[in-house]
Amino acid sequence: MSYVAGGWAAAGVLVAVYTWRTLRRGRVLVRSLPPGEKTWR
Amino acid sequence: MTVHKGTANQLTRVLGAGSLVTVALTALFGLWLTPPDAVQGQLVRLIYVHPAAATACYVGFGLCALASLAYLWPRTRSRRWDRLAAASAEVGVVFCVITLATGSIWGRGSWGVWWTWDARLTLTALLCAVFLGYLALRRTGGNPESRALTSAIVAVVCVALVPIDHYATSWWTTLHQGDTLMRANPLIHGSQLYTMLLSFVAVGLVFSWLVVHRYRVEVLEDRFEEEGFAVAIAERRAEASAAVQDRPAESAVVGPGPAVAASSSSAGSEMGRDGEVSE
Amino acid sequence: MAVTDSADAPTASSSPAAASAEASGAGASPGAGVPPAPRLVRRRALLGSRRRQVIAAAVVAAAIAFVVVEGLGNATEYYKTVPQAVADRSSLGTRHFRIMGTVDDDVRQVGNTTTFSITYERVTAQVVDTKEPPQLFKPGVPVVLEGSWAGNVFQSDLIMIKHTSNYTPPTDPYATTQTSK
Repeated sequence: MSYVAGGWAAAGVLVAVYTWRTLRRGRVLVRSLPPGEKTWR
Repeated sequence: MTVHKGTANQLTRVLGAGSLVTVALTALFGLWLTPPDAVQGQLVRLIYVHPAAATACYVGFGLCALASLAYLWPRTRSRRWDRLAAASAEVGVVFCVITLATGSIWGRGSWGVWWTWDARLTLTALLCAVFLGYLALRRTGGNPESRALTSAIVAVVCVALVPIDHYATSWWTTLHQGDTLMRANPLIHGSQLYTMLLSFVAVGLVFSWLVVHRYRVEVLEDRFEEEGFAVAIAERRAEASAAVQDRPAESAVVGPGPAVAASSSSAGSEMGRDGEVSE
Repeated sequence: MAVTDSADAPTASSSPAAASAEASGAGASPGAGVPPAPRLVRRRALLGSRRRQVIAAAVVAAAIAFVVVEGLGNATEYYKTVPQAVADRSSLGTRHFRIMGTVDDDVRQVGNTTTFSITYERVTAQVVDTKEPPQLFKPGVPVVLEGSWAGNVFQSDLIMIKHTSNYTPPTDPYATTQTSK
């Protein structure tokens, strides 16, 4: 059933894109901290 | 430098692993092991995505409003609440978009239309637009404290749409069906019910995992916003001298001209000290 | 962390810090490549300029206005049930509205035209539909139709299935007890 596949895929793609973006933002920011600095605490 | 783990730690790894396992189980049961529906046939399998996403959307906006209230209340005022509000609103908008997308697809299959202006659909679209506006408001720059105050007030006002949206199907006539579970005698087959409940656990874990990560990004962005560039420039120097170049284009050293001059005037004392050390 | 907390406290000093960070970001960018952190800081003040704020506010306001105008105008009375629509027939005239009822056993399809009747609380209305019905359309299913009265017949140009929130496997005895809300 293509509607079911489409719905599940839409949800999966949206979560995946947002996850990728968020984790990447975090990595870039953490990398920009001075050496030895604790990160987001 | 060592490996950059980003915003992950023990907590997010546990939440992330739990999310993966429960999402996989929900897909296994939802797509294969549960029976089709007497009326809707295979289309019923969207019930294992759509209601949970809608609930996560409500929870995200509700959490945003609670955190905003905590920020507005003088005795609990802390930027931590503002960060939580920002994180949960953004994740809430993501789940709101998922709700609208999966709902539209489900509607095309079962109702026969992609969209109709009934109260539930209209209010969900309105909720999405309003919280996108809230996120835009948070991006207007300026003084972080006044931004926190303004956005907290806006969030507390906007969250009023959530209960109206939720009760829309019982207050007015809608094409959208009423509640499946929150009613006197739910009529839903056993394995469908358990899979639906499992989907709420799965989406809840994904939601928490995303909010924790997003909260930490917000903490870091707050630091960079308020402490200027001293941190970044110090790091850039350290990276260049250590010749660690995982990204050649980005690790090109910034010229020490205006940026350093500005950073030493703007940065807090501790950040300034860090900058000097690496110099 | 100490750094973050100390940055929290002084309200007055944090504003110039952010402002000068912006300025230095603009100053540094024409030189070497832009480092990631300044890029993120600028992204955060994406709507920092008055012009962008006006555009963003206009977009959001237009989206909200569109939804409110399209939706809330008729959302509180999304449809009339068959008895309501029959009672209001003279005042409705040829106005476009939505009607809700359950499809009877008399569905007939001739070419592109589907004729059937719908019933709600023992009041029945004849329907003529000119668009292809959705896949779940069949006798016994509650539907919402868009269209208008043409004499005593409801001229429909859109059939929507109003399924319930009951979910049962096809073989389940409860399957036959599906009723509209």
